[in-house]
Amino acid sequence: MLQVKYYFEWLIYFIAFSLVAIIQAAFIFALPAPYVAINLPLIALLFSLLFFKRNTTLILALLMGFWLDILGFNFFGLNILVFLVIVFLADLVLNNWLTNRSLYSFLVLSVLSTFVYDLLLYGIVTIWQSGQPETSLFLFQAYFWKQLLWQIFWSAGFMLLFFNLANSLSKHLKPFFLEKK
Amino acid sequence: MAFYGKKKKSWLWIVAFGLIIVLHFTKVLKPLENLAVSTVKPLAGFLYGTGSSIRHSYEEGQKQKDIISRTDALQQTVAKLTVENAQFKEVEQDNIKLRAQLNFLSANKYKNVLANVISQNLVFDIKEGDQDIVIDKGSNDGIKEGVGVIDENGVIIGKISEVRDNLSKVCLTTNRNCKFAATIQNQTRTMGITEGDLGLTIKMNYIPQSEKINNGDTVITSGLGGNISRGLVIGKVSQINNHSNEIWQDVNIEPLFNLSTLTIVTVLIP
Repeated sequence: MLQVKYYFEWLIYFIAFSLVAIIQAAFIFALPAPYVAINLPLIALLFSLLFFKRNTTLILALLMGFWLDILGFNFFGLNILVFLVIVFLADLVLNNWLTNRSLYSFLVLSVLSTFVYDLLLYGIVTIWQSGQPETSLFLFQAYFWKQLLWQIFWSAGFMLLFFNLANSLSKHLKPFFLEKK
Repeated sequence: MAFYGKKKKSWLWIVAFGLIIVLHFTKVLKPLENLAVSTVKPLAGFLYGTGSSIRHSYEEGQKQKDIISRTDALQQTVAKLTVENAQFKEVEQDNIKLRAQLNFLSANKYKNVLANVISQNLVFDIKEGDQDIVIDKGSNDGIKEGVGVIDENGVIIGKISEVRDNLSKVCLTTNRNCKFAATIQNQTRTMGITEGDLGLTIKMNYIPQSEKINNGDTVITSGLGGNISRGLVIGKVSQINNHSNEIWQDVNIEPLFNLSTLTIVTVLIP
């Protein structure tokens, strides 16, 4: 019976996180300028670190990266790689530098992860496209920074919203920093 | 839900990632990928259509800000009606587009493949002006690189730049990496190459000063080179940039399609 419940839970995760990736690829990318910067898979991954172990989140990162890679037209593995790195990094920061699982911790984490995500993604694509003419470094382009600021805004906003929703349902989350013993 | 933070065999994930990449490039994953894409195509098409409608409404709202004081009451009525009839309009527009495409295609005798737009390749376009869309038909449907793509009015919107089994990437005429052999329909039928400009308009450069071009002249594909037929409308000349001290002049061309309403397209196969 427990085994059935375990597989059923995984089926739900599979459908839910696949849906997040498909919504990102088809719906979010079709939205107008400020909203196109919403990064649902990243928010979902950070949020899943609240509830799941790192390895579970890594599997979900792999799943969402796979969907984005097959629905997009960049080299296969780009999204999988970036998501895996982000989960490793977020987990590392969460367990070594942030005192607890408070809202503030996750806001810091969402800002940091978004920044690293964009740097990694654009960095890899720049290297990939380096042979093409007129390729300039993304760090000197206003478009990159504008996109990054919007992404940070949306990520932090969604984190604030979901955290408060989850906080009312779970005892694992803390609204404030813990005092050091 | 305890903290777990131990480094547990992180290298296994590197191996897993490497394995997925190898399986992809050796095409072992191909059946799975094709199955996955085929399964989600209808959903992705629907989601893209919804997002596209929202963007269209948003852009229309932005344009009308200047005259909002005069048309406030009218806009409110339109907005209310738009919301009330959103579902109905979606179906109706698809119907009109399909009928228009059918008329255009039967008149011009092109071999064609109808396709839904399912995504935009935005995030990875480092330069702001690079615009691509993804359609739900690929090499399995006979599509190949370089062939033209039109909207429901027969206006060329771009060409196929990359093909997979069930998906294709279309680089738009407004994409600066997307070039077309074109003719301006003026007295001398000026020929040249068009390319996108900042993702908004199209440019034709290196036109000799002796060529007489007028605002409003129609620009069409010349049919020279590549797999794109002659006579497909690219846009209309909106600005002529010529200085007497220069050898060349260039023109700005206004595209005649609207990306935010683009949900169904036709690929023309020669």
